[in-house]
Amino acid sequence: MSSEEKIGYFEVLSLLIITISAKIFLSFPRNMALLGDAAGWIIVFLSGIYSLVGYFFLSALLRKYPGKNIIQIAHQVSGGICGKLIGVALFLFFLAITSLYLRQFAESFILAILPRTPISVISILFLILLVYATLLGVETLSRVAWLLGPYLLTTLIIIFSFSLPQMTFEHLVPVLGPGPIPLLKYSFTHLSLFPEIILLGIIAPLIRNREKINRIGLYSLGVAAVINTGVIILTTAVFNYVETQKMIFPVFQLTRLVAYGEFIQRVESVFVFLWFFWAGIQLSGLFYGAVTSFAQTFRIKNYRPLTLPIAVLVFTISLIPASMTEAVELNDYTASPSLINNYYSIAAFGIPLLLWLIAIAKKHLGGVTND
Amino acid sequence: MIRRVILICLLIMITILANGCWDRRELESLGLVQALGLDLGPDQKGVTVTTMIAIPSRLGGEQGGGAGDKPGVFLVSMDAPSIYEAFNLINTTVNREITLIQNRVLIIGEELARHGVERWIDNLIRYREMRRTLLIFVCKGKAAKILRVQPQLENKPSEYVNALVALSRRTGMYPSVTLNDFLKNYEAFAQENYLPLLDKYLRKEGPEPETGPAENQPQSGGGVSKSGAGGTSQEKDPQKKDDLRFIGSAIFKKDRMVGSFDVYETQILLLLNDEFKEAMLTIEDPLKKGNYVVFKLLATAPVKIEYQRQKKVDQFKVHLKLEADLLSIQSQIDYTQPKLEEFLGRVIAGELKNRVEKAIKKAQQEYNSDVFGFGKKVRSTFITSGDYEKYLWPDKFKDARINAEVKIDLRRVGVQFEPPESR
Repeated sequence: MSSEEKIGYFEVLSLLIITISAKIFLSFPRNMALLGDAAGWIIVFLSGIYSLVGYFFLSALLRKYPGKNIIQIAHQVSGGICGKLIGVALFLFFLAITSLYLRQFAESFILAILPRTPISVISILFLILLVYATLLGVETLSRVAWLLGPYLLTTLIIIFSFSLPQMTFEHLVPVLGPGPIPLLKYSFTHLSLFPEIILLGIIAPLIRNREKINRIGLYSLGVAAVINTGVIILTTAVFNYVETQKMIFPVFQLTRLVAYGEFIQRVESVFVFLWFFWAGIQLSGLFYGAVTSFAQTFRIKNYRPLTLPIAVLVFTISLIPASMTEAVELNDYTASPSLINNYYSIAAFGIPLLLWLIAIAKKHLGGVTND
Repeated sequence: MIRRVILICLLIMITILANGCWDRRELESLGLVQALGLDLGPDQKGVTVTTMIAIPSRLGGEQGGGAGDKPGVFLVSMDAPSIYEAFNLINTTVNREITLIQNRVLIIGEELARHGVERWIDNLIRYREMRRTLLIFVCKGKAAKILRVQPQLENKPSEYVNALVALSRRTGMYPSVTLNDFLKNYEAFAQENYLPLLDKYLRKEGPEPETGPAENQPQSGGGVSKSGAGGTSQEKDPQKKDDLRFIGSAIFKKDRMVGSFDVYETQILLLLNDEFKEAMLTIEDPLKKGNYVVFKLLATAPVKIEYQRQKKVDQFKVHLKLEADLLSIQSQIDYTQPKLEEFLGRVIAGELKNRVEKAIKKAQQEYNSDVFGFGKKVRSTFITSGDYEKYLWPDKFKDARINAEVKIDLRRVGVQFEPPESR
């Protein structure tokens, strides 16, 4: 355990916001359009609210056991074996999400700028970055996030505001897309839109200012929900929902559309930088989560030697999908969520809920809990 | 010293490694396509792709000598089953790799457009080099022939067309449509597509002895003038006076071109689509026949469309609110008086209303194609997308009852009050 590291409020906040909202660059807008037609944004919005509720349990646990991360809490609350199982579940979650995002980002780079470069080269180069970031530790990583975060967000807003003239709100009708009941249902079954918040559970003990932990989670979920919802509204209003449903990476297409006068055109080259930084920070955060969750589960004091083996694992898993469509589909949010999606939501929101329930039950049964 | 050695080693490494970079593309090895023409292939199945490729040495400004006479581009045309296979075939003769990264113009031959673009539309969007900001045109005859025209003012025909279509905001006589706009309507199920229609034009350089200046003849029946649409005479000196010209818009129904609007109908089309900015128009003087009043029509407020569904009949009411600036009065009647201003506004509004209703009727009865986007209004009255899809609006458009109401305010009269009087 690297307890020597200490991270600040804004650093964690920006790291989490970047981590949760990085999916906007991938096929997330398409998936929402598939689910909710013109009303995809409602799904994201509602799902954001649900995940705030889901986050309550995580935050309650973190408050109840200050100075401990979610895996240590699991060990304490549910005992050795169960704690290890939960830890492994979280490790698998981070492993899966890192590998799949890595693959999708690598695919998106191939699509956008490097059509002839083999995917393994892009993945390996990316992994070198992730390994380096993780070896430096979460303190450095979150500082990078805070250093770059505001600029990234500003660039994103600038690029998007250039596509505002192309928006037509007429594309946001029919208002309720597939109807109110499917919307409510999908927004619940797709809690997996915000699972990255569990990273807070891993890094919470390192946060310098304990009282602010709860606020960090709320704010990061809130801001990320706003970004995600905004992007869905933007893509649906610029293209219509039928077109968004068919694009692989709608935001990339959106930036290619930007033409503001004769001078501001072809801004996607700027956008690719933004994209790269965003993905780098997000993947590093998730990769750090994977490495430390493994170390915590098996009570390995220094996580750093694990970095390389897990990087190899991530690389291997990221190459499992045979084609790009398969990689995108694996992360798909079709009407009946896939196994992986359910797993994401269970890991991110189910585990805290379970631990919280056990903790409550133990307290009422008079067991020894807090030490 | 050691640092310097490391630096030099690094530099050498970079030069060696960068050579192996997969996506390295030298500018000198690229054949930059400036414009792309698509025609139906000879066997009705494939496609004839015409690429206009830039000759960089002739385009640069610094060696201005050759730029004037020699064109900066050359054309290569290939028959192939698909657009991209044609590129490969072109690369069997052109020594630079054909790339679309600079392409801004796509011209579709009328025959292909009438045959349906469905099979080619995916070709156009799936490939990563194809940008959705690409401008699309339909042309009379073969695209390959239109691309052969060498305009006078520019070295690059594609640039010429680009600048020309941008002038649409001054005349409203032809639309400016990008691939993205086209696709939006293509899939929306609420509006049909329209594209600017190009044609060859034999430029006139002054009065010719045998044919009179047809453009200036006043048309019978009064109303807003309808001159200048068409009127190209037969070719005599083809290599010198060939030019391009927009002759209105091509109207699509689903993926097929079904007809065309002339430049004046296109103004109405753009007006109802909120694409119209301004245009200069002429109307016969309501008080003194045989004279004309010229004005500039300005769209200042977006068009409002009311929609009601009563007893299974779709009813629309189009509210147009426009402004006009007086440019010229031939009859010496002082229309600058507020009272007459209002009267003239009403007369113009009446004329415009006729034109609007005529254009809508043409779209309904001749083409059965909702190019005006009334479907968007219909769509917004449905709550779920399933309901809208079931309503099948495109089939109902021809039976819809559409009325127009036009209001015109005469705002400005130029720099003069009363017209000059000879005494």
